Amino acid sequence: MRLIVARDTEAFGEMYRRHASAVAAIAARVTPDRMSADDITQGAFLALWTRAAKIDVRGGSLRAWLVTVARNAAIDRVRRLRPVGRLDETHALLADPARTEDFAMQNETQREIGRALATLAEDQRTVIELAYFGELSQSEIAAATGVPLGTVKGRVRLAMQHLRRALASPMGDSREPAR
Amino acid sequence: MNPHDDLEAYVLGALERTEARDFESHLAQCDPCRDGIASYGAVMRGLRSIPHVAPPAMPLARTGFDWRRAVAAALLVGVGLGGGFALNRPNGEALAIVAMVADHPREIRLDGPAASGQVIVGARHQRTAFVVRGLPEPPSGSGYQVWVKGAGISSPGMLHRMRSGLEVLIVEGDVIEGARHIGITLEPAGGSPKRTGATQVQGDVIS
Repeated sequence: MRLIVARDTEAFGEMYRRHASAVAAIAARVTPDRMSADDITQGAFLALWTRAAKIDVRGGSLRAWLVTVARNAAIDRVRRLRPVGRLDETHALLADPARTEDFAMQNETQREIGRALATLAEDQRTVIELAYFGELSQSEIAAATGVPLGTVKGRVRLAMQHLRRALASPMGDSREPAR
Repeated sequence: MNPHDDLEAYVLGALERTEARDFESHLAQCDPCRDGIASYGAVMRGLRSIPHVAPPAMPLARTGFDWRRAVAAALLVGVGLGGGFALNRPNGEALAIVAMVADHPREIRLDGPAASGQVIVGARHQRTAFVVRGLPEPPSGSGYQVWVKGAGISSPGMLHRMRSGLEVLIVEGDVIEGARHIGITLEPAGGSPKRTGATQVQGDVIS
């Protein structure tokens, strides 16, 4: 961070190589199209470059900051695209290939996990997305979101157990949102 | 904490390294946890089936850097472009261009019924950027034209639609100096000599 604050473009490039994959993955998970995901990924890193001196990652990590910025931007983007829909509904739409043109879930396995993710409660889906797509640890998620570590751990457990049940059911889906 | 409770986070890869090592020590002597890992096979196969997305080109790259796109991208993630670029490297032309737009900008908000945006005047008044989000794609043969009203009315140009849907125009100089009002209208492609379309977004320039 100190080098980026000092405008070291080599250090910036190294941060990009380390973290861009996770940032792009979380953006692509939340946004409905690849172009938005690319814009958001670049925007998150540009935010790092322009705001480096003001970014405080003590207690967290730079990856967590980038992933959180990208995920929040992606959610805002989805909300703007679908201003009348609740976010949960939007996630469901994104995860339902029959109603989504751009989200590439082409085979049955992808459809099943997409449906299962869509049935998670919002707070549980968030920790799964940040952990799996954003490659953050539970501690990093807690620091980045301000949610107590114990709560994050509980949500991870419940979310994974819900996904396991959803994928084990004959429909590959549990119709009620996880609580 | 019960060591069994780390099972799901371990499977998901959400443990810190030391936590993962501790759990693996526990795993060596816990049959239920080994069975538990196997029970998440379908979940992890499902997550891994979601296509990997390669990241886009790095912003601020020295070649092929689209600085208009970078301005738009920064706005898209909801951050201002302030913060200051201290240019201390050679081959930093792309950075320099961004810096002109970004360094201590003067920003004016644009609002409309379905869209909003900003006018950004860069450091030392070298460039002015108009960025609007939320405008529908203009009909074929038309585009969005920027109008600046001061002592008279002039147009610095047409907005350029980016892949993200943002409409952007960046022009040389401080084109809003002395202006009182900024508006953007839908006009024929290539621009109109005077305003004919309805105002999409507008904003007052407060001196």
